[in-house]
Amino acid sequence: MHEFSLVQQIIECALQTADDHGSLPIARVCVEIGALQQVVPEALVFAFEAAVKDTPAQGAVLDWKEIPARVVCSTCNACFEPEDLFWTCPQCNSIGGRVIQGDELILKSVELLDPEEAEEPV
Amino acid sequence: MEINVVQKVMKVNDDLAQGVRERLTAARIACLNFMSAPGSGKTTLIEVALRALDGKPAIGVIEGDPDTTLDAERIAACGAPVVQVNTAGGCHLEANLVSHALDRFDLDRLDILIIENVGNLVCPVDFDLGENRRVAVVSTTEGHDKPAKYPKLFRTADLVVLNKIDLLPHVDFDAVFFRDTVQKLKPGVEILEVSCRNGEGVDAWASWIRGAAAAGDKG
Repeated sequence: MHEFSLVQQIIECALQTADDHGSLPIARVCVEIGALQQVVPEALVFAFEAAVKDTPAQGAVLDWKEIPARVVCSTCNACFEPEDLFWTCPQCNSIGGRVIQGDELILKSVELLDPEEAEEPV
Repeated sequence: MEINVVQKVMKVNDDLAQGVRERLTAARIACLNFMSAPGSGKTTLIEVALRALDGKPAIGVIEGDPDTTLDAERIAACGAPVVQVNTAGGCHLEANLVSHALDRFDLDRLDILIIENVGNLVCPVDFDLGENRRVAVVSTTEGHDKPAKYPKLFRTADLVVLNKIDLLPHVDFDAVFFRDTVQKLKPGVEILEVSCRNGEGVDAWASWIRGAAAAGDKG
């Protein structure tokens, strides 16, 4: 359910982008999934494939790339990729920090079929 | 032809949540988002706080559930204004649902808005509803390992309530492990231990809610 609600927002945004560029068919939608987002990429792809059916985005493919988490240590300000549940700082061993990367789900780009490609029968 | 977009997928929800936040701020209402697994006692915690505080501060409640108005009926029985939101199977509340629900309150008469999210330790965490504070509730029957298994809820919580502590002698709940895990996930976060059944911790719980009104600053 969670993934479905996310793909609806992805599709809406992709369709808006297509509309802004002459309503060309959508070939591919690329998203960046932050490691701290509670999203299973495979579930997102599955939900996307189900959700585009019978919409103007039908046939579009969802590509994804995971963006690693990066945290700034709240004690020594070192910037690191957390490797454990408690975000132990590799420099000073203290716990916890401020997230600077990896907590977002970003619609990166939308690939539209060129008019000539779009006219060719699939 | 590749078009660069670079937009947050949650932008629609985030913008609506910001709208909710601005409306509540203008009305000087503090907003609390309660999140937990189903059955941890969120509604009972709200009931005991409403009875203990007796209208001062004035609290309104949005009840989120997949179905029924059972929770709203319980809150209404305490004399508080309440709006039931049914998600029809949806696993979390979103800002648009909260925004519509807000229209049904007399905001001039409220100091605090409590949003009881759909019972779920995962999905609600990623949806900003326009709240000032997040409250995570765990009950002793759920097990002490829940913070470790569902870390994001606890990393983003402003208060953690351990509920049903009257059952501690009867369940294998390691309260030390629980507290230790919560503190490692969110260093310094306040943890309140409450039993709505025998009243233990209810005074501190009601005081915390009263103090939260300061976030809305209606005085």
